[in-house]
Amino acid sequence: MIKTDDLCFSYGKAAVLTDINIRVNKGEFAALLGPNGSGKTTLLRLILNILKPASGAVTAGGEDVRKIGRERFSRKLAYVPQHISNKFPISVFDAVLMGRRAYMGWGPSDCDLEAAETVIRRFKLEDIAMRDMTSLSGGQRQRVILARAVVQEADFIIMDEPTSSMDLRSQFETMDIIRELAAGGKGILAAMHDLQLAASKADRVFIMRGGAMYAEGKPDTVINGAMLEDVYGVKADVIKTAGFFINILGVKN
Amino acid sequence: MKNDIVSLYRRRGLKRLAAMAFMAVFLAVAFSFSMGIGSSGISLYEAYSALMTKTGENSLIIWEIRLPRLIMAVIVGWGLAMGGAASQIALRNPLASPFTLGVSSGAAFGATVIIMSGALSPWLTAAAAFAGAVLTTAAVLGIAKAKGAGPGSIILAGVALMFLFSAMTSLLQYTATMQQVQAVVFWMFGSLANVGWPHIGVAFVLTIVPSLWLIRHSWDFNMMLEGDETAKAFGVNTERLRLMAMTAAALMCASSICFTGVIGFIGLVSPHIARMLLGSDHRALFPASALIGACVVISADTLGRFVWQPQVIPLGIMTSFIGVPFFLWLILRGNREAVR
Repeated sequence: MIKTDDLCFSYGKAAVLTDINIRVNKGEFAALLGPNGSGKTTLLRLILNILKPASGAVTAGGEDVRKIGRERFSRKLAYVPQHISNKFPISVFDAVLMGRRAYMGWGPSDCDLEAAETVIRRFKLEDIAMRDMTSLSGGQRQRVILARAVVQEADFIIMDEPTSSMDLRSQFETMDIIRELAAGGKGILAAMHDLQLAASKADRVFIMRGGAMYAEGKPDTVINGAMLEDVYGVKADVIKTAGFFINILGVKN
Repeated sequence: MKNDIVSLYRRRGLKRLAAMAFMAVFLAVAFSFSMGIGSSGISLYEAYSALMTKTGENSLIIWEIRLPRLIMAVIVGWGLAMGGAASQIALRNPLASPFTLGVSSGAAFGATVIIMSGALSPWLTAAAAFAGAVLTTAAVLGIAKAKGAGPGSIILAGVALMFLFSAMTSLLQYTATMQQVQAVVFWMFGSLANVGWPHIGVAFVLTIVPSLWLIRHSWDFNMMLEGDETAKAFGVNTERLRLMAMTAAALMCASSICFTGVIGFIGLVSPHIARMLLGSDHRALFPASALIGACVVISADTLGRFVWQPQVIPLGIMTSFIGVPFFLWLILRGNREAVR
């Protein structure tokens, strides 16, 4: 389980996050929702030990992420960033192989190479495996980085806007992959902007507003008109059918 | 079919190895040919006879002058080039080299102080140059560390100290006699003329240890290509890696130029040539930069002794004459996929 206890963070005297308590279990896909500036990315950075909290703690599988060594950290947490630079000048195969870094000595073993190849085939990247990352579209780059997170064999995958640069079809394909990973036992926490996608695919959602947790629970209980108005300042009807549909009526003054 | 991708990947790795093997062969040929070049008129055959037999009057020239000079050329080229590659990734700046950290201005200031004091010991000059280079780098990294070791603050601190030491060196020269100014200027030209076996031992150790460390961390540097945040998410301590890379670069550069004087250009351009030929993967970039640096230095030194005999054109001048046209040709050719 990924667990944050009373997590607080501030830039100087400006509080950015206050008392965040979340739990993400293995085998669960949790979406982290909220408007820009609500603190989603900061929370992900604290979980990944990129930022140091002002107070509180983050544990993954019962271990404090700030105290575990590099290899154990890699086995616990993988990361899919929002933007992959289009100036990342290495091959797709090498980019995926990076996910095995914590297991390598001076270089990759046969086992690392085989793991990378298996994941590349699983993500249907074999045709572009030797191409440079600089020559790929945004959607292709994102798939490569998802593949890298999978080859890392971590218990939990932290994603920052995993579908942000994808077309509609790629978004659904990626969501299917995420669901498949969760079904395979991975715990996934993804910051997302697309409420419909999150509502239709996530097991649970966390809603953030102004650096605090506004609500959490199953999508169909948490995502409603009142929440959209409170958090996003948008008047909308939420129509729950076999799928999920949000009908935007207007922006609240 | 199962292993097609891995086979392709391995084949690609072999192509890179073949390219590096070609560079190594070129270096070996240039090294061998250089044994027969010099003002004493010893032919290539006579040079190798003296090398093998260790007897006769040519033996002294070969064993005490030419061989140390050529080995030092390889070490200097290797160290400056790999130091340049390390600086460029650590500072995320294609114009970075160990000199960005003030290594050369610190070394020049140290050497100038000793030359001006009238001390005639080459070891003392080398020690002062080494101390000047290392202390300047330590000051730059110390300032940067206080500000969080970001690339921007390192470059700014380096440039500031570079100007400070250059001004102090100029001030010393302004008050010096003509002979002292001449000695300082000659040192700054860069030359392999006065190196011996003990110098080689020191420079070798201070070059090979940081080189191995850099190659060992090639994957971590590759991760930094994607950005500090991703590298940190993989557990890479980017601040520490950056400081260690800069320290390694400064050590390699200082250990070379303290014995030879300032040799610019190699650290800046060799990594770019390697990148154009083999790409940005640091597993290939570090060794390829080093081999190219060694090739350029040994070629420049050989031509410097050959084209204007019996005069010797200083190495610092020749490296630019050799490297700049080749570098411009590569830029104009613009083929980044040459070996991929």
